[in-house]
Amino acid sequence: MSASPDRDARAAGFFAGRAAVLLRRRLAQALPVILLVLVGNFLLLKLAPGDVIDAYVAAAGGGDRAFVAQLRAEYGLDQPVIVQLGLYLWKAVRLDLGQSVLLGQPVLSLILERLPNTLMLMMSSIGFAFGLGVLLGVAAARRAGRPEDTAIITLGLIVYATPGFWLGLMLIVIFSVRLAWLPLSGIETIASSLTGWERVLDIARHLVLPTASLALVYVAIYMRLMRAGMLEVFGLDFIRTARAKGLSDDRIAYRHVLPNAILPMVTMLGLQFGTLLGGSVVIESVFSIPGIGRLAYEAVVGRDLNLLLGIVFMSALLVIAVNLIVDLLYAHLDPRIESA
Amino acid sequence: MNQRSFRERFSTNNGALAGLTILSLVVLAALAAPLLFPGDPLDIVGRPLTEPFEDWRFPLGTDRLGRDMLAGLVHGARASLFVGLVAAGGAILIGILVGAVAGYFGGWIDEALMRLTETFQTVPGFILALALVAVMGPGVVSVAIAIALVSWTGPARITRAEFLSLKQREFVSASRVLGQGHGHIIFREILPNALAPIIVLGSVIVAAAILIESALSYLGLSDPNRATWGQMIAGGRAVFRSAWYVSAIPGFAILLTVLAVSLVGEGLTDAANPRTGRR
Repeated sequence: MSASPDRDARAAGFFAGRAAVLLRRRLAQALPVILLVLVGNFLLLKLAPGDVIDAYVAAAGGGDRAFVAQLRAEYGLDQPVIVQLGLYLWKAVRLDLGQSVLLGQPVLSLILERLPNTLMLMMSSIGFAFGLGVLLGVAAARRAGRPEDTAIITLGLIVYATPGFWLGLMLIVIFSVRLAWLPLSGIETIASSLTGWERVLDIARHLVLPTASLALVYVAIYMRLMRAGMLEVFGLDFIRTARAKGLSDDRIAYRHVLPNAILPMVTMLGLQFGTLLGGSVVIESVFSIPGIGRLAYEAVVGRDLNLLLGIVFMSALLVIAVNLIVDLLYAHLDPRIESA
Repeated sequence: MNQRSFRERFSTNNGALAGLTILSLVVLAALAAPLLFPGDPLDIVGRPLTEPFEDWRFPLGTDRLGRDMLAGLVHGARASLFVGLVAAGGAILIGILVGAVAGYFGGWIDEALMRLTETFQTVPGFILALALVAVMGPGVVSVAIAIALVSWTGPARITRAEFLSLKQREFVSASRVLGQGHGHIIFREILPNALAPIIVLGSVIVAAAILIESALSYLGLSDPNRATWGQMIAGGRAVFRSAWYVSAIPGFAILLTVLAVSLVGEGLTDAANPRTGRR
């Protein structure tokens, strides 16, 4: 790759400098978004019938009036709305998301406890969707207009129209109930005391069906994007040059077209992450995976608005972080892009 | 755009025609539901878990409580289409308003509205929809409102982009010189010229809205007293070892409906831009 270690070091320094600029700019852009999410959360809390104290009292099965008033004062709920907003923001800045009435634990620790499971599901889904999407997109683009291409596109449209949770249920019926190949639900076998690679394998087996149900839609999306991107690059001048040089079709497709067509897809990874995270709510519910998606569902059913809004906030932070990572990756992969 | 050739291009597209046929059947079924199945689709009418084609009174069988699957399916189409259309309509309306104001006025208004749009794009839509339904209380209308509130960012961005380019044109300067107000220029002059790409995006939003509705009603956040496809799938979960068709059939209905909407949307896109269509 590199001509000399000296040039390598210079390139690395250049990249680090650009990364720092990019990082600063992105964080400056993210701050107003974070603030707006918090203000939105506060508005929803105010709009909901009853406040946090009502929820506590209901959960405790009633309470003494003086005690309730004292609690309200403690939480600042007797203050003017603008002061309450300030208090709310100040707490959020210190990542104090309050208590979950439903589960009797701090919201933050509940979320952090469940986060790894969701992240595992996200990573396996993104990997699956990206990998298969690129493969199918390349295959379709190289056979553009032929029956195989039409078949792949039609299949993509059908997959796009399939509700993920229903697909999950159907996969359970086939692979867990009928064939008994894969586990029915959960993230790992309970009380199995598996360790090391055996545990990893066990978790992987549990992730197969949820990943397929969550990611299949994105396979269709990436496939279409990849196909369109490949066709676009195929039409560029440098490909004609490559052909004129007498390079083989395979070499042109995989060495010249693919790297150029794959770049815009990296940005899509970041943009789609929020939707993917949203999709995990219903998929984690179908497969009983204890992640933050299922936690959000439990919060809705248990009428724990504070917990739910904590998840809204943390998932927004997660989306911002992932997009930041994607931007840095993109800047690294494509030196032409000056942190747009 | 030439009207006749647009229609011609659409009507020679087999996929679009198939989509239109399926969609028409679903719409007809939804409209005729009270005539075809006058009773409440949630009433128990037969033996539980009658399999499809087993009893001619229930061509698609009955669920675990003995409710007619076909009646539920036909009535469920009403909820799905209602939410799909109302939510998409609301999303497009909000999107046009935000995008038009941002693109037309520019400056700090644009900056502020784009930050708002970015915020709505950052929060995962489905989780925000859950929070909105939790605040408004479950029901078909709150589901529709929640979906509209999480789906307007696409139309807003497209409208803004169209306005940014169109407001530089001469016909806009002309009407400004004529002393027309901002409202007139935005809605009478620019908007009609910006509408085509927004309407094409509409089919994508309807399809997505139907899918979100099915997921929300699967989680039990829609009206419990109304038949919805998502609820029927959830009902089948308890018996899917022995009677998987209870979940399979309504899911298939969602798939067909969303596929039909997408096919019609693709047909519209291809007919609107014959050159940028599929190669």
